[in-house]
Amino acid sequence: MLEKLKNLEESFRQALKNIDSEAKLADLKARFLGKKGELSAILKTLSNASMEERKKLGQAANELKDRLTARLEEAKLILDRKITDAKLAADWTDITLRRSLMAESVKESGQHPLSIVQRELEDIFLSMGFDILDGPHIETDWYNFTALNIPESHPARDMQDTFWFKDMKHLLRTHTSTIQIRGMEHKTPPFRFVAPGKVFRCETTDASHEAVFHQMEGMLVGKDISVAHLIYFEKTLLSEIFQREVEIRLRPGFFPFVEPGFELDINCLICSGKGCSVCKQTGWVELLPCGMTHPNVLRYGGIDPEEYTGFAFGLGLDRLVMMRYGIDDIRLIHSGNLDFSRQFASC
Amino acid sequence: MKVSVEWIGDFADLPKGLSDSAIAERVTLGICEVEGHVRTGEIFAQTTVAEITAVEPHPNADKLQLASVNLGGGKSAKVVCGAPNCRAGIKAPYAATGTTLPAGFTLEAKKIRGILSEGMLCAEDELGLSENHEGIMELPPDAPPGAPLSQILGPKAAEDLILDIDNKSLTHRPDCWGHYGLAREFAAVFASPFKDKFNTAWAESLKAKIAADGGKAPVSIHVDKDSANRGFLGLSLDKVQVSTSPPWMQRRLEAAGMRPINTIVDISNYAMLETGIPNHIFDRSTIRGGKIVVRRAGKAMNFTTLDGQTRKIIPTDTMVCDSERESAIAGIMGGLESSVTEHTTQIMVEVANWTDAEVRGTSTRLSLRTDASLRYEKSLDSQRLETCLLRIYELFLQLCPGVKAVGGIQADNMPAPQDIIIQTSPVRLSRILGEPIDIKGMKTILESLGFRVEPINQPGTSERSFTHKIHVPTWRSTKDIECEADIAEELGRIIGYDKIVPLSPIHGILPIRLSPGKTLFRRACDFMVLRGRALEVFTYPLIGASLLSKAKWPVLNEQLTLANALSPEHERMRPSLIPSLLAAAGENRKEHKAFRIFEYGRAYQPLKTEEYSRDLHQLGIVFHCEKENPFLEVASLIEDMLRFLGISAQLQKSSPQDSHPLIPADWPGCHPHEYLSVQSAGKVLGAIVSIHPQIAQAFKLKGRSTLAILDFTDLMATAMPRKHIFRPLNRYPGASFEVTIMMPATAYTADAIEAVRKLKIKEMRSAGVLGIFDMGEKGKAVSLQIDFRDEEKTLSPEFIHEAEQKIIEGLKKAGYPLR
Repeated sequence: MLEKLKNLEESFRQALKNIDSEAKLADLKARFLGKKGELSAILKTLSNASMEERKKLGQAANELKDRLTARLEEAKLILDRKITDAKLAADWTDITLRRSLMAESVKESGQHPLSIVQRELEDIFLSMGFDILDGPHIETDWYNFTALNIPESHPARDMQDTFWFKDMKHLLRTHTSTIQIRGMEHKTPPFRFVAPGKVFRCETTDASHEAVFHQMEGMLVGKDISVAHLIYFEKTLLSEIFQREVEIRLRPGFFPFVEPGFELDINCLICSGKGCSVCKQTGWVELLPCGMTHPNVLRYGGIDPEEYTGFAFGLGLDRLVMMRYGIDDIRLIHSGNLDFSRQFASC
Repeated sequence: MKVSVEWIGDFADLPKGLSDSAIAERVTLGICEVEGHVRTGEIFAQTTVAEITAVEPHPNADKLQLASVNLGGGKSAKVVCGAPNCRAGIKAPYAATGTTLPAGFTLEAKKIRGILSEGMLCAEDELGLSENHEGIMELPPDAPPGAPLSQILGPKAAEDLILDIDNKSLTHRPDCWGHYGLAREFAAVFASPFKDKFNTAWAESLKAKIAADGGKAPVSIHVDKDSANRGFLGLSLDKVQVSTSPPWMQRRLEAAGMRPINTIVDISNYAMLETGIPNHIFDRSTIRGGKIVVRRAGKAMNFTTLDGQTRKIIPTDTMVCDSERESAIAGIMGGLESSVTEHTTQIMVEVANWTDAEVRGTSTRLSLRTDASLRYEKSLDSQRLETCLLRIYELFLQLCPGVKAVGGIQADNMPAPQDIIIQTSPVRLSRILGEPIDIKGMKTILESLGFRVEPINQPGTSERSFTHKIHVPTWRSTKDIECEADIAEELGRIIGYDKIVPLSPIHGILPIRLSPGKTLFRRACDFMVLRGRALEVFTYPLIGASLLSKAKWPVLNEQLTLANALSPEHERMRPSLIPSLLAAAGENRKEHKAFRIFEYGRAYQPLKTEEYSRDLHQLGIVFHCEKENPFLEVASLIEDMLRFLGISAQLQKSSPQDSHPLIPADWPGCHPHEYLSVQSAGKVLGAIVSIHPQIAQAFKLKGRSTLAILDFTDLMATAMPRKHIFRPLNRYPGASFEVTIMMPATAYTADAIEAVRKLKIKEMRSAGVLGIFDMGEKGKAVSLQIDFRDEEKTLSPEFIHEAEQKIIEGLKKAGYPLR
């Protein structure tokens, strides 16, 4: 009897090797484990055996049945996998055919480099508690000049190279300093804000001059704000912008809306102040104009200069962008050219 | 402006041992920007007198000779020389090997045609003395060999440091446009006494001399009070001899960037460069009627200035005239007719002051900027006119010893000095600078700059709080110094801002967040980059009529046209972003077959009200494809973006004839039916439109382009509400129903969905398109899926059946029968 069971297992093993479809697997199951199958046939002959032998053989036959069932299930899984994989193979996808492989000529997307730098600066200012303000490009004489302590006959009006509209009363703002007045009108001290945006100068364009460019005005007003505060603030700000410790120096500069007024230089970051062609051998690079807000300007903004003082500064954004990326022609900023924009793509 | 530090030395001594760059830096930090500096005249200390003792021919060259020279002190050398005048017995300048010549090259020990030349004998041009290169320079026979050339040549060979000052940094400093005024600053900055040569004693002695000359004034002066004049002085001089001016004067003029001409012209220029006050010298024989009249021109005319150019004068220009006609444009340039010549012997010196704005106005209009107008524009001090006049007289006495003043100084319209007094205290000044200031420091600095400081003692207050009356000198009173802050600047710059200890401001707690407008802007741009996969571009807000005409854009923004445009291409503010974006797209189409661009920029709307105009904040988008139609992609993107921005909006079919605030009615750029209007809260927010091939062609946009324009101007001020609200998850199952209907091929699918929605079945959650099948001539078959759900209960089979029937019926009524 045991011999029979052994043979049966052997022939099952042989038969299993040739199974390549679900139908054949079902046939195999019926042939060996079915009610009329080979195992049943062997078990039927068991009734003739002794009690002890029956017990022994019955156990062996049950074990065999379990083994065969497990083998069948295993085989079924393997077979299933094969069939599914064959289907998957028929449903083939070219996984190399990604967007990056396509001939589409412009795949990149992203913001303009000026927007990138402007946002970065805005975030630095936000982190320092500055509000971000905005204002119109088309302005009146009042906001662009008079309220900034630049009266009718002031030579600074010539310096500005103003674009005037035909009514000769309205103009394109020549600086973001207009927002100093607009900001003061809406705020009570203490306050601090910046105002980024386009400004316009009637200036012939070349690689380093543009008639339309970008500035970021900043203003901080409070009690007893002094030059010492201005120096501290600018040093902190510029170290944050350039992501390294910078040295700054103030020298007299003339801007009617500040007094004292300064040109702020930073130590040349190219040569670390040793002198090179960028800093014209001086070790310093002129970066931004700033100063203590002129008492007249505070008054025009509705603030009592006896009670409050403040400082203001202007950053030239285009220059920062050009310095950062090594852009050699300012006219590219407004070119609308994709081959320019895509170089700064974020994705 | 070029400044000679040697000239400054007449009025102020600089500390010894400072390097040139240290001087330049201190001036930059304390006074005005030094853009560059050069040292001149060093060559004369380095070159010496050489006596040629013998000359022999060069063995290898016909035109060269070998000169043996005695260099003094027992030294000698052999020098190769090609000059025709090189001969034994003469003395010439000698430059040793290693000397750097003014032209910039350094002499090296090298063989010339096989013979080593030990140095070089120099011609005048090689030393920078003149352009003469005819031969080596011959020095006086008594010049001792070995002596430095500076000793032999005298003032002509003075060593100097020339500072190149940025004019813009002196815009507010009328007093610094001459060496005398600048020297006062140098003295203060370098803490050295100011040697005020032009003091009262000096003036009185010269005035006494003029008075002693006596005589009757040959020219009388009449100034119209309504002219641009601010004071006029005249002095007639006789027995003037025109010759060349002395070497020291020529050198200083050249150092300051002026070409020496002759005695009269040079004195006039020298006095201007020294005192900072322009002046004019008339040949008196050309003054008709013995009269100088200052008046406005009164009529338009042509006037020939001394540079020979004819200038167009308008009636309001102020002119200096004689009894018959105009002789000079006030404060700008004299006339050709009255200018001095080599034969002039009688002159009248004019030293006048003119209103800054008027001089600027006229000189700008004439595009004629002169050394005089440059200075008058800064608002000069009339009280300084006399200094200049007397200095001119003094120089004439020096250069033309026989000169005689006739009739004394004539003056008209001279204003009285203005005493500006500013009250402040060291404590108040410290508050501005953030640096402690004491009375002594304040007084020392201000007095060194010519201010007078007068304390007003106030019992009961600390000394530093004492109010002081600061009297502003007249030369700083014309507009420069007006208030306490100006005084703080004087102290700050002389103390040195680098001495101030930086200090962090202390501020209260101020919560800050991005404004709604800025948030909207950032989110829209992020969306366009991440979801729209587009690139941001900037285009010019200034455009030309030609671009509008090319785009057939009917809104011309005439009101917003510039009076002084740089070019016709940038003469007006754009009425919309669209023409600019079309132009940018056209340009990019040359290189790229497909692209997506956007700009968040401004357009400008003229207003008839007081406001004049409004900046419009617009987002413009152009998607361009070579073959596929980008319209649906753009429209879907805009729908998604508006949802992302929290703006509830609907896209509505629009037609080119419709009036639309962002797309002018009948704009031929509109595609006849690929056109949607974006509406939000009853207002038009934007448009999505494919560009008509005709307009696309004008911009060489070959392919298919869709643009979208959104105007966020009215949304900038309001924060978008939070849109997400949690609802409990579904407790009851929903049911879904699919139906396929027939529609005409060009019927809008959305109309079928709309027909379903109109039935207003409360339990209907959504209706959408499953698929569309082309049925040829019969039109299209559209499969819809409609979902139902009831929050309160499971839907009954009866309800579902009823709803399905209602929908089928509704669709049929709308003209879309079941398939």
